[in-house]
Amino acid sequence: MTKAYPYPEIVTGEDWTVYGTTELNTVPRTDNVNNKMVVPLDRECEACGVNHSRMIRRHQLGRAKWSPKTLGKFGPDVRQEAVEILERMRIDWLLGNAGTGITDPYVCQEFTDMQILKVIYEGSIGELITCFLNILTWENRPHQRAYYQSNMLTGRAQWYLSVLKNCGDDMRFTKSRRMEYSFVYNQIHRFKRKLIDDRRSDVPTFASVKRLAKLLTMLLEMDERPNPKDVFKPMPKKGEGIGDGKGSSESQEQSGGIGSAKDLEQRMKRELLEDMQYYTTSTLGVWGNMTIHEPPLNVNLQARLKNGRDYRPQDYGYNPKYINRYCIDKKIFKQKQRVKGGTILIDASGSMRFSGKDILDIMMLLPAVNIAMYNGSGNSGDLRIIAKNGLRVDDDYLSYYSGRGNVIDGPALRWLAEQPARRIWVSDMKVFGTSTSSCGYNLLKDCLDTCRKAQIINLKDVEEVKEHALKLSVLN
Amino acid sequence: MNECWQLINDVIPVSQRILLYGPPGTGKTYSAVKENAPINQDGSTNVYQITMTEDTASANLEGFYKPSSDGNFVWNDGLAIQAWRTGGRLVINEIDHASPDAMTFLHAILDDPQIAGITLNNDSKETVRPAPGFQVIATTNSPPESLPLALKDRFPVKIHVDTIHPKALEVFPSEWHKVINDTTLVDDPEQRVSIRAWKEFFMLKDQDFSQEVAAKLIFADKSEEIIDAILLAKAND
Repeated sequence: MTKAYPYPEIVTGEDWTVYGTTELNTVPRTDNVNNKMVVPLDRECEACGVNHSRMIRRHQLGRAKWSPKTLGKFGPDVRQEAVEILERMRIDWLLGNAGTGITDPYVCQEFTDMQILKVIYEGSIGELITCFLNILTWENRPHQRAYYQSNMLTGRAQWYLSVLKNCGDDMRFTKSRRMEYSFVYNQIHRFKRKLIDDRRSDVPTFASVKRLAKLLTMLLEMDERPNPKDVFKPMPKKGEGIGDGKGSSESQEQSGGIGSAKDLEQRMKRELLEDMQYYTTSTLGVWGNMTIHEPPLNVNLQARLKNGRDYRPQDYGYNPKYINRYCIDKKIFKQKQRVKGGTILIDASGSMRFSGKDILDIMMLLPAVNIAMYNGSGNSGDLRIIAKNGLRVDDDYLSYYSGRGNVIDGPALRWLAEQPARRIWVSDMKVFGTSTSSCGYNLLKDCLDTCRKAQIINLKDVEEVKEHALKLSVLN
Repeated sequence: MNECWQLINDVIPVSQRILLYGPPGTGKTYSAVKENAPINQDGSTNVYQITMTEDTASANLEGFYKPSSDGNFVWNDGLAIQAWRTGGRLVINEIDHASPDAMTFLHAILDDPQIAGITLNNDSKETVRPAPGFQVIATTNSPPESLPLALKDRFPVKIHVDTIHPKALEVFPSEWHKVINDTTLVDDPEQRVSIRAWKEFFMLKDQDFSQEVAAKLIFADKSEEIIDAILLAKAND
């Protein structure tokens, strides 16, 4: 069968060189600087008989016509992958609008089906978004803008999106996973709407691609794959129906009182999930920039915390310093005094009021504890280390810097994750990003993921810290 | 006018042996036949044209006996001899396809006019010499290197035709000139679209054939790609 060459010279009126893809060079691409195009030149898929390559050639012709010479420079917060995905969407929309839409899939249907099943079962949010944005194709006709967008998608794309939507309601998946599907579904529509219905221009422009790439990058960075047990609910035991309370992870989450570290972790996870379900917005939140401050720790608590001594006599050890005690209690060895500690991160925003006395109380309970507080406003926030190594800041400092908003919950939690265990996050878990973004799902998800990974425990207020800190803490 | 066509225009009146080579459909033959063509006294052009194939015998160039109506055989001069006798222009198309038999005769035809002479293989054994004004313009799609050395050496002027003749493009809308030029001159035959195909395509479109139907009729398996490109070319930027 003869090769099928595209004719970019007809499209652009310039000289072009077209190369066929090879086994070593399989990626189709268009170089608008040197006017070179690499595309598959076959006419029929050997596996399914569909002319995928024609669609690829058509897309690359669209690139030759509408894409800029180069994609330009990306900032550190923009992934090239995000630009590529959005540019592909834009070009496909323009192709459909010109009556040369992508009417057949780029790859075999079976392959797409398998890919979608894989990301649904195993994929991270980033992978889900990438996969579903890549299958969006538009009808082959002039498009109406704005309110009629859903009709512009091809039936195939609409069907795949309906699969994703149904997964959001499928009770075989865990609650958290279902929420991820719903989130991804909403984000797909959001990106579609924002890219296509850009009111700055009659047709989607590359400028809007670059603008949205920043947001998409944030989603692609949610690349942690779920643990299989966080995807599917466990199979019901004999005699139990699906969704019966006992045995399911969700019911486990809901059971149990508060006390142990596990209980507290489960309480935090449950509350974050509820917040993600009911209080998040469909917009993407953005964390503010965090600045870490290490103010002078003026108040020395060493004497009060360790009874003024670093070393204690013990009946084990290698340094027999107190030989005179042999006859009394046999504690002849010098041992460094081990004290309970860890790291506590306090959300110092608004209602989370605490005083110097609270900190002293905590440090009496956990003498080796490091304490940091954070808050912020606008697009930035501050993390202040207010107690460390038995020293703390004075009361005036605390009262002066308390209040304001959250803004940097995520970065502060990541800081906490790098600190010595046990890690406690004192917060009402009402997390917010910068002033331009509200309580986005991605922010809560980020907090939840960080807490899961670093085994961070949430306590609601300083009183709870006093109540639970001792049994949660570990010896340093 | 493009450089190569300007060269051809300039050299045809002065050079007796010209080889034009380049992709098909560019207008080499058109130029060889039409440019500055010698005129007979009756006003007709004094141009003889032959296309060489493997089956073209030297007799087509030299001459042959042909039965006449009175039952005898009459000698007929071949095209080359006619051109020699009249001092006309001999246009030899696809010269690289000539058979060894014809090629040998061409060597004799293309000898320098001062020494050229052929004794015809007829009853009279007449010896013919080229009349003043005799000119040979040969065309080929292959580069000159593909010709036998002796033949190549007989064409001191060799011009590579790398664009379409401006007159051939005149029939197309001006915005299509570059596209037609590019698609016609591409090396890969699977990618190439001949100027004749483009001409027919536009003709069918003018005859109220839809673009899609016209493309299918003319471009066959290239039609899908060409239609895609045409639609995209028309689409708004």
